[in-house]
Amino acid sequence: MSSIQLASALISGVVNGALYSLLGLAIVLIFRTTAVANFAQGDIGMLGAFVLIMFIVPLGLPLWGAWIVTVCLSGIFGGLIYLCLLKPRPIAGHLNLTIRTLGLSTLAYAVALYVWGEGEPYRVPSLFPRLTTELMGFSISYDQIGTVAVALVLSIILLAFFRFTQIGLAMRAVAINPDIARLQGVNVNRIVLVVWIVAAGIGAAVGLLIAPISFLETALMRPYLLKAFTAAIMGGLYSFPGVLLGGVILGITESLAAMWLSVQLREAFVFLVLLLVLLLRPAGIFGHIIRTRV
Amino acid sequence: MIFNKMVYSALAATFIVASNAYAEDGVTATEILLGGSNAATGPVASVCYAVTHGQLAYFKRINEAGGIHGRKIRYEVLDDAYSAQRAIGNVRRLLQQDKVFALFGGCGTVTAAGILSAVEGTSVPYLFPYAGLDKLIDPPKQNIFALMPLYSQQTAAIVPFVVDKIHPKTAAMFSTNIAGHEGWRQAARDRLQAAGVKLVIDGVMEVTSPERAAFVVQAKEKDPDLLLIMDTAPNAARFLIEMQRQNWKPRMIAGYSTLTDETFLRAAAENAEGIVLAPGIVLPPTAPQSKQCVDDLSAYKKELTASHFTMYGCLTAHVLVEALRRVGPDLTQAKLIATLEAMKGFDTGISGKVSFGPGQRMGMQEMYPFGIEKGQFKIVAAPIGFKK
Amino acid sequence: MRIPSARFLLFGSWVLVAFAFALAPLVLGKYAQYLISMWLIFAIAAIGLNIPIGLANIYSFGHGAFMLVGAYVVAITMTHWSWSAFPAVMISLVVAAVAGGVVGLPSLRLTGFALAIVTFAFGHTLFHLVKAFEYTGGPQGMFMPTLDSSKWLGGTYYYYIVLVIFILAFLAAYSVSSSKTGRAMRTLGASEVVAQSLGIHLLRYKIIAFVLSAVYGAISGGLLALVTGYVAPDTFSSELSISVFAAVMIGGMGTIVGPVLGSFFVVLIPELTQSVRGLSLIIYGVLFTLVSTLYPTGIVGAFHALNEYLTKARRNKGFSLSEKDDSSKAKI
Repeated sequence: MSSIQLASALISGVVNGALYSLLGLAIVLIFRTTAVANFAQGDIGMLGAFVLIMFIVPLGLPLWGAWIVTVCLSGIFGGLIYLCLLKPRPIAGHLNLTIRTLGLSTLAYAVALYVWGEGEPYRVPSLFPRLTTELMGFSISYDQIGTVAVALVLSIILLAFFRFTQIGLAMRAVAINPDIARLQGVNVNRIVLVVWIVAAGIGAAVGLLIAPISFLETALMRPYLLKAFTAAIMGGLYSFPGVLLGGVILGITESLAAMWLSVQLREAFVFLVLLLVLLLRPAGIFGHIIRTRV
Repeated sequence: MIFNKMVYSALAATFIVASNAYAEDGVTATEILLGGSNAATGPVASVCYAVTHGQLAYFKRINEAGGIHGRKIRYEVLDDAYSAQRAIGNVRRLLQQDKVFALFGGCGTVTAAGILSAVEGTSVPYLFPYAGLDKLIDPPKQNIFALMPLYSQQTAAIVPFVVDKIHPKTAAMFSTNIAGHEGWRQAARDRLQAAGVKLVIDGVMEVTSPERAAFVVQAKEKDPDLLLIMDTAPNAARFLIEMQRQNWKPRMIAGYSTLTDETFLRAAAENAEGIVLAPGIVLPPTAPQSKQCVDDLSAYKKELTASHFTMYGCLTAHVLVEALRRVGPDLTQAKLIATLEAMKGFDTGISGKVSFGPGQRMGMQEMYPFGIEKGQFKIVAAPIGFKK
Repeated sequence: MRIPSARFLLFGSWVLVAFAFALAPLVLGKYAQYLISMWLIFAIAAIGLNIPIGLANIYSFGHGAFMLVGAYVVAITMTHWSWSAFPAVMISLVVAAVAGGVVGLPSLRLTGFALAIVTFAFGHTLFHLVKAFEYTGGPQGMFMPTLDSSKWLGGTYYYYIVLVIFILAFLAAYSVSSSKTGRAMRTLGASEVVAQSLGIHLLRYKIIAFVLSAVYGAISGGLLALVTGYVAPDTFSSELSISVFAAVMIGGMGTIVGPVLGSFFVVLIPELTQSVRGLSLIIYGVLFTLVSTLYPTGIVGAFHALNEYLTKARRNKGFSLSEKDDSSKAKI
């Protein structure tokens, strides 16, 4: 394989990895605070992209303004998901709440297919110019740079948010033990609501980054969701730096495997990597085994 | 006891005779019932269902003019959501419950394979799906007729044509990983070798992963004169978008009939001006001879736009109606099959001539070479025939 | 005195239902028979999935993979090696059991959620693998050889085969559930720590759960191949795993009738809503979401709750006066 192919594989691996990481970040965020695995995370992004081109862009805003409006709307949608779907009857247990998100994902996909399915695929305008530029002799496109940049900035903002702000601290407290957090005066319900709003906003941002790359269609986020969960697990499910690293590793491995092996065997290879990581470090790269006392 | 038995049998016999004035399934004095399974929902629905629209539009006009020998055509299409499993279920329902006269139309290689397994060996005609599935007609089946040349046949026809036109030294080919890809890739390899063109890449792309970046990088590196893209229209468009991003294009792009679809045109027009050549089964909606089909479509539903797929629907409906007309008032499945088999050199006006035969179940004998000029499809030369 | 006859009634009603199914081909057309066969085949898979999920509380999202194994082994042995149906199905069960065992191996080291994702990834990977090789038919899948047996008994041979196998599968699941194995699984499902302290070997029973679900899945897949005559890889995508899971959940996890009822909805809704495009998927999504939110115990659970409510209401009507007195006494 030539160095150009290698470089291109690495670059697209990093870009994909950044997307997996960001989506995985939203998943870990919800999982840490509520022990719910949000299977609807991908479809939130898909709906966000549709809302953008169907409702917001026709309003005539500049594209970056439309993006911000869409992300905010998606956040509100996330809050509604929590209030209507997950808050009622929480006694059913975490696994049941996870299943509700699975149902929501199916429903969101079905509705999007019904309303917009006939005309797909759609083209989505990109924030970044559709051109390539030379970087150290390798061509890299502007939207690849842009995607990684946005992912990086968002990740840094979120990490700082959790480490240095009051709400971030409260979220970490709720993640460790909601009952004790409640005793300490934290309004757990409000925190979880904020978590869902933020995660949905992240989901929309990821969807808006992916959609312009080629076409927007209802099945847009499906391949990304499993990869995001894989990244989350590889990173240890409870660790933000873990999922970021896991995502990038996953993206690069996948890309290299597609180059070296045939594309069809890529999925099998990625599965092997996941198994390997889990066998060597069952709690993930940065995770640690939580021992419960009986 | 015996008397009762006689009465019952007499009653039964009368009942059977009376209710089956036309013993043929799906045919009554006033109606011909056709059945179909198509992807009405799902990612390919936007292109696949357009075929059905074209067919329904054509039938509407025929019915309004009185039908064929006094019978109106009723075409029932069930949704298979592009799943072979659902398609098989639909076929069983159409044959066993609704008792249709013939299976007509439909779209997609995946579902066509399922329908084939359910209808092979029966006496029900299965006609003209939009599917380039080898097994449909190779080996030929008594009751199955196709109007879509196999992708391998299309490739074998277009490659020499393109090579003749631009005399490339090198070529690269990227194919989608669907059934039959070995067939067309071999056809391309043979034709390129015969013309002395070096094939530098022979890549296979996974159907489900739409990113094309890796392949474009490979192509850009080798910089072939001729690029063959054998994939669906949206995926080929993605390929071109990626080429634009990487700032590279070959001297000529060719493929099979999927490149004559408007989805590809819309996405590719800016980068593909003048450098695309693809074989088309049916004339584009912009051609003057296509006017009837386009008018039928807007009379059927104003908001629909004509496309390569609606034109194909129009074509297949036209051929079917002609065959039904030729059979005459006494309509049976066997007679329709015989009439189709005897069809020779039928000029539809919007495609090459249609001929079937005892061992020939694919009727399209010629294809038009399509090019892209000023953002529109244009027929750039006389029809290309197939050499078997 | 009342209890024995209630049980007898229950048993009797099940026998009647079985008879109704057996006699159905006399009144129902071929297409209806096909639908029933599809429902029962799906139900077999769902009953199998209920074993790890309903009993042992292990979430397996890769069930489609076991169905795939069953279908493909049957297809390969019958097409490439010219085996007949019975040995083909037998060997598919063996292969699936091995696969189930392999999937169950990491179950001790991984948390429930990680294991769920691993099973999901397993299904996803297997799906791509069969599409990659020509021996397994590639993306087109495999056409089964035409079977003489499909014409026996006026074409209803396979209807009865499916019915008989379903009844056997149903009874087998019932027997597992009430056996020592079933009790062990339920214990470890409720609390692994308690199970361990009772001497229940965790890994062994978890693997047994996977192996059993794999065998059921393979039976289901093999029957699918035999009845439809065509094995398409797209049938066994990860969506299938989610559908079977949905069937178990909508019907009622942990019961045996539940998955059968759930399968009825999952298989038959697309059929019944053919006329309106896209609506069947929406109905399915709404049903899934509603049931998981409002009735986590599924249809069977809702039915039991309704039953309890009615029984309580009936009892309250007769004792309202004394209850009031009782409650006032309790306050003191």
